[in-house]
Amino acid sequence: MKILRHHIYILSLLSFFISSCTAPMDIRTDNAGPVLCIYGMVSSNSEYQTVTLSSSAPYFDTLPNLRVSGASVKISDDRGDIWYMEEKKDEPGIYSTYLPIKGKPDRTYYLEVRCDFDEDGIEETYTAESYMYKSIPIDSMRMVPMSFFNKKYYNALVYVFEPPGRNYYFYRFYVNGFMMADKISEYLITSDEMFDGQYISDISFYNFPNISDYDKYDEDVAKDALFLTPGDYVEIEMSEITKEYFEFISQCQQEFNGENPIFGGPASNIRTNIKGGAVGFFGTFNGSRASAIVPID
Amino acid sequence: MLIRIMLIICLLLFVGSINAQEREMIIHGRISDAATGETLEGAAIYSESASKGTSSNHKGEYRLSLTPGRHTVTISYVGYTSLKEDITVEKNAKKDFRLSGNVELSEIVVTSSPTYDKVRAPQLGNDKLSSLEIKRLPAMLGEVDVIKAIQLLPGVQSTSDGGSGFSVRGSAPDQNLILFDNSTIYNASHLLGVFSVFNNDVISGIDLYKGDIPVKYGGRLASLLDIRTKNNMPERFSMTGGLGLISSRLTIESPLDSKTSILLGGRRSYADLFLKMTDEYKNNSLYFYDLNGKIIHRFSSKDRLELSAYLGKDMFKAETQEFNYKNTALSAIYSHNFSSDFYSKLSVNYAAYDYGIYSGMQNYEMSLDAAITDYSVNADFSNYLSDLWNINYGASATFHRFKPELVRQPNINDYKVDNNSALEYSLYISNEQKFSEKFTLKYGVRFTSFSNIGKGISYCYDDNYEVTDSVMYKKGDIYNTYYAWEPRIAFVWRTGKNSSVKGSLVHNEQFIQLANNSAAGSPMDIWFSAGRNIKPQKTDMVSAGYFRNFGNDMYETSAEVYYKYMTNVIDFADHSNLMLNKYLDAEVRTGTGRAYGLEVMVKKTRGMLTGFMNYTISRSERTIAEINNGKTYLAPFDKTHCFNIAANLELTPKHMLSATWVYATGMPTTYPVGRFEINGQYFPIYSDRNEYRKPDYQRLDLSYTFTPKPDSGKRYKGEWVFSVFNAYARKNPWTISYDQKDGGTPYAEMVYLFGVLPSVTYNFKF
Repeated sequence: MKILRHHIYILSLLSFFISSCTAPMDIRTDNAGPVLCIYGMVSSNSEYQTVTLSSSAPYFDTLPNLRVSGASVKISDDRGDIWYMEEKKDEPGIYSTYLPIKGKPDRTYYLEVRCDFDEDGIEETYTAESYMYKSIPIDSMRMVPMSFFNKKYYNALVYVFEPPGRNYYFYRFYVNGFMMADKISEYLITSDEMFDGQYISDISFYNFPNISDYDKYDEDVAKDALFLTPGDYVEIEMSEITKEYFEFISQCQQEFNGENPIFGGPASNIRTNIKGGAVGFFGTFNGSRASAIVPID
Repeated sequence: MLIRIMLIICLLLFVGSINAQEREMIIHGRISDAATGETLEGAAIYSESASKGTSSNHKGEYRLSLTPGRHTVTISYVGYTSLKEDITVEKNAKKDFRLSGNVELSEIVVTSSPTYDKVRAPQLGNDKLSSLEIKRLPAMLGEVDVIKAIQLLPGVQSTSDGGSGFSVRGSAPDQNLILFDNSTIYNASHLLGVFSVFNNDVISGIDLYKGDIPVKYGGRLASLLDIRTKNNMPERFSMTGGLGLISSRLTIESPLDSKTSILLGGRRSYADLFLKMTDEYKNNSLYFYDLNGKIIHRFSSKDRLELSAYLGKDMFKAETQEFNYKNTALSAIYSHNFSSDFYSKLSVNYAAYDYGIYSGMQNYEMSLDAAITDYSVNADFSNYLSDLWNINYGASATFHRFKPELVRQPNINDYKVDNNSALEYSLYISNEQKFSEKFTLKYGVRFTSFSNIGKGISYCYDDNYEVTDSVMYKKGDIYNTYYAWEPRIAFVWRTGKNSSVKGSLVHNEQFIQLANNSAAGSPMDIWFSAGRNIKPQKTDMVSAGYFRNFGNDMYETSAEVYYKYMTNVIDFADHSNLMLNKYLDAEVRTGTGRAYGLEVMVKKTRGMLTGFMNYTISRSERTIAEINNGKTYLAPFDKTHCFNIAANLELTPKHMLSATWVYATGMPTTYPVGRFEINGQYFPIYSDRNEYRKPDYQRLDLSYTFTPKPDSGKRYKGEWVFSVFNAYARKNPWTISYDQKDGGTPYAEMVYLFGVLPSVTYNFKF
């Protein structure tokens, strides 16, 4: 429901008017010292819940960031359940539950990571917490063909009652069981500011390109897009998330490509909910689903 | 404290100036063009024997006090033959002068004030440019642009490459008051900043006051840009126009009867006409236009009415999507001269800016509208009693109506950021005292009351900027008032016939500001007012300068230094959301700022080669508790060194070459110094705010003007202007972006807007 962003898009039409170009640039900066990055998620799906520990690196470093091994990682909740996480043998730095397990709604989850990241012989403790909301019942979803700028699309229309009060949502789509947008920079999020406490109907949550237009797209764009074919099974998973998690995703998306001189503010560090001097995030989400079959247009 | 001291000084001076002086008589009148009757602004009149002079105001009127007896006065004006006349002064008298134009410069309508005025006036940080000077500068894509010209002046920085935003002496672009025939222009840009809204053909000239703003004006911290349309009484019908690559212009001026004249000007871009010819873009629109109209009626030699209107619009339309924004400015000015010493002016103004976004796209239908509207009434009086009592005073009242975004979408309720209003009253008085031929003092004070008035809503926030409460106010309820005393004082001490030392001390306050934290700004930035949560921004500035002319005023030089200190200065929280935000106040962070610098200017006003050269060294910084961990950081417009050259070489009346060259230190920026990884993507960890700088900025623009028949006796005159923007194809970064191939190393890319841009324009006049 990136309504505004969609409209801003028309402004970029201007780009054919102004001859803007790009050129590679060499930026030299002092490098910041390494900090621990913690990224952990608890979902309501029955899966291995994981926490990843890595070290930060200079921004333009050509080597990948190093994973951090040998930490003790624990997730607990406010009802007394505790998961001791085990570092994966084949993937150092990734700490996982022993078995697939579901996070439970209406609980606050606590993360505790202990490790000697600064190698001074004393273990530091990093903590974070996140509340898992109850799921939002989605009434239904409909896939509707439409066209725009000589291209055909399918709108994903979602029918759901949005509860009163400030809420934040994270949603993702599965096409024939395949999850799309699994990178933070592509996550779909929205707050309810524009439609607080109302029944949402006939508003498009996403535009999928129609497979019949495949040839109209540049190779680069086509590679990342998910084209739909009549008969495809599309599922939406919608989760209410905390304000902190919403802001984290939104800030990651803002900062991913650097500044936007017209619509963006000055470059600012992405905020974390982890206490103890690390970067990254510990979040929770609890999705509810609805599905639809792509019709013949 | 400083304000109080300044107020006391002003008061003392006012009282203390009741002082005996040798009786002088006043000679006054109008200086005009002998051929067309057009009044000449800034023409010089000088008495050798009394070594006294003055210059004509924007109505061509001058006033000179002389001791009784015989005097030889010289009247001069750039592009006109100087006139020498003997006059006998016995009593206060009216005397008009008419000057004949030079053949080769007959196209000059108005030029800048005479050079010695700059030395003599008790005014610092003031730059004037005439319409002709602006026109002679090489223009981007041939579009002559007032604001691009301003950006070449010392102490003025462009805030983004090719943009219409400008920063004066280290201040934010919204701290400039832009007046177009006395009406505020809230967004002076077309095409998202590429061009400004002022059609140079209808303009007589501009005045930029960099901080030492006349007390008559207020409401902004950094500067006043006063742009006036032509104000003369044409003797015959004339038409001026031009055809360019981007837009075409047409302006007509004509007398309607012996007392009434009319000016109509229009400009429109026509890129969309070409778009319509293509299949892919045939349903698209992309245009901007400006319309100016002005009627002047003289009831008598003492009474005059001016009605002026401006309407400018930008339209971007792509199939079912539309975005447009427009400025409207209307004014009516009635002036009456009670006597040759006592002028009055009454004006009513309306200024509005609004924008809209509309979508008819299936399942994305929506509309968004936002606006700001001002209604104001002003009364100004100017009373010349003696050299010691040259008093200006007046009052104004302005009603501001802020209508932030209203979003309508089918199937769900409207989303509305609450409207609010404010009432601003001001009184001012100033006096210019000439204690001797050497020393003149100007001082004054402006008093403003700014009230938030219902219907409106005010939110209360806790220490974490979360809303705790809200209060609704009924229509007409005044729920918050700020009072401001703005004293301003300046002196000039003439150290010789052609040189002077000046100093000034000013205090300015600002009550409304722009919600913008991006580098270039956008037409969707909204204005919001001070209120319960946001205090007025304040500036104290001290400046001093040395002015000297050489070679019989052929060279005009100046060096000015300034230091200013700002309080309640506004910036926005990290990652703030300034659009569609009911709780905008919660995104505002305030602190202090300071800026200081040195500006050196050399201007050559006559001869084959004319132009100017200036150098500015400056610094501007901010300290705001919740930004950059409270550490002082550079303002985004801080450019340490800035060097500008603008030169015109008139080889013959047929051929003229012009060039501008700009060099500036790169703008401050925040670079990533580290990165963290999540699911194979890298996210930046930044340096301190504005710790680094972008590459230096450089640009050379050239133009060649060819006038086929400059000496032709015919009324029709045409000229070709060939120009090249960014002649040596310097890649100046507009923005720096980062990208990463899947799982690969991040890399930086600069986006630059302009390569070499050649253009051709044809201008005509008859």
